Amino acid sequence: MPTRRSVHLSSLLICLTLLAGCKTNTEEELAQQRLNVLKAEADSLEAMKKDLTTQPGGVNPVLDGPGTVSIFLSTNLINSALKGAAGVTLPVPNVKDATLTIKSVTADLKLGYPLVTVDAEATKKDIGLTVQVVGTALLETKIDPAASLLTVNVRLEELVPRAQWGMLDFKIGGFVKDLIKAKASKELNNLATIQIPIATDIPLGLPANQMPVTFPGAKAIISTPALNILGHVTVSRILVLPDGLHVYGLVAAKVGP
Amino acid sequence: MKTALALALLSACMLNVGCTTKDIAKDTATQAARLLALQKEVEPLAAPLQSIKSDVRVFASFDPIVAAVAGLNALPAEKRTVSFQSTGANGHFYDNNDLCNSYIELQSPGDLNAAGALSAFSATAQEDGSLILTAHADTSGHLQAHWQFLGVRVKPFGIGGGTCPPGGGVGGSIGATFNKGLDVSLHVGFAMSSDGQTLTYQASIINPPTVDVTISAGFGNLGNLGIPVSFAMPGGAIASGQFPLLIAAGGKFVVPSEKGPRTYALALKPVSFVATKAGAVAEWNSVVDFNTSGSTR
Repeated sequence: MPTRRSVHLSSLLICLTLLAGCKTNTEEELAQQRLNVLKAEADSLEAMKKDLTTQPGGVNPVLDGPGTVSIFLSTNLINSALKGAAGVTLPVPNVKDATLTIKSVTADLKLGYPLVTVDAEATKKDIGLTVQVVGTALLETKIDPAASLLTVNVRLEELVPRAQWGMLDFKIGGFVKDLIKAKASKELNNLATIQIPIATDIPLGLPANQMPVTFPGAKAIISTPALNILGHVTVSRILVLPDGLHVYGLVAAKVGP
Repeated sequence: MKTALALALLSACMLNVGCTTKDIAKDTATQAARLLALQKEVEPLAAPLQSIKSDVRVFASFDPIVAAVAGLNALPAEKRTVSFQSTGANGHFYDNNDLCNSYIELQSPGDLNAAGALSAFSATAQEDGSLILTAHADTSGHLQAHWQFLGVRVKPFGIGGGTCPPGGGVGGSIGATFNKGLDVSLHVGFAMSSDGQTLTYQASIINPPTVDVTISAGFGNLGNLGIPVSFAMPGGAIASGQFPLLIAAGGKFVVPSEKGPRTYALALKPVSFVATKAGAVAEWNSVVDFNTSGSTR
């Protein structure tokens, strides 16, 4: 008859054997990542629908109309620039001997949602491990009038490795968890920045002028005064459409000094 | 106790193998359906906004600038005054051969002048995107002239050049005032600069093409005369300038890297410029110069 102690030992051995062959992976995290993107995309589209239908002009808003300005940056331009990120290797913050190498950063703009996908490889040298990483990021567009810059930041949202490992491979599991947490770090948060100088002033000036005229009897000068009109642009909204970023604003003008 | 722990581990393992939770799948299906429905509603609204073929496009309406032109009327009169000032003589205002070449001339270089404040400013945008700026000026002026009477030419039987009395004749100085209303129109045209980085504009006077004034006075022995003063307004551009149409130049692209940020140049190559009554549209294509990468540590 087996003793009670030997039953316990046998059970533990069976479990350990099963656990050694038992694989875990990040499919759930990847599925959750896809769900997060879908939800965010739908939320953004909901906001865009409200935005477009509550405009003056109803369902056909006039955005390129009287008193407005617009700036369009194509997806092609953004992607041309983002190619510069390929091959960049960054240390993974707070994880010893770990680096993240960007393979590609691609804008995949959706209606109302500035999605960017990041394809990367994470390496942990001390355990000789390399895993593929799927990241999602968003384009954050803003105009800084003080610096006269239109800035498009690529803001990392999620980083999920594609990995599979055994339940007892604690080092791999730990690295995967570290990578998932790494997205929140300051170092990785901003993947790239596109800066385009802009001028928010439209100065239309006729300087004071003197024009010589000659006629029988006299030579003379006609003097005209300086007349200045100064237009100023303020950004009122940014629409994300599949073809690119559409920045809309209003022009206000007054007599200049 | 140990058995329970082992079984719990085993159960956790079994549940985790190849398992994506049903909740995520269900939520994904719900969100996908919601997204699809929203796309059907929003796509038609956004479609008209997506007809751009270039990499960068800028549109600017000139309507607010046109409207602001009326504000020029509120400027102090001295800041909207046009003036006319003689700088020297150019022959005579008046010559009369029958009066032995008697004449009227500017007495001193600065003795003909006029001025008036521009008012009733307004502007209209044209189909070609140019602006017509109009204003009115009621000017008043003064002429200080010297007249010289040299006598009456005598032609016996009306034959030959005739004869004049000897001597320099008599002369005098006379001041005369005059008024002239002017309707002035300026044309302001816009174009893309040759390097495609700025918008240039040129202003030229299109009205009046000439200014005609008759200055009437009693010029001593010459009698009451109307002296016509007529000159052509200067043609061509009287003023020009330039300003960036929102996009000032190229740009840059910065990515972080192990050794510090990499910076690339982002150049814009002009594609087209069209000005219409609605405003100006400029388009560029982008060129990213990856060779200019530099680290700023």
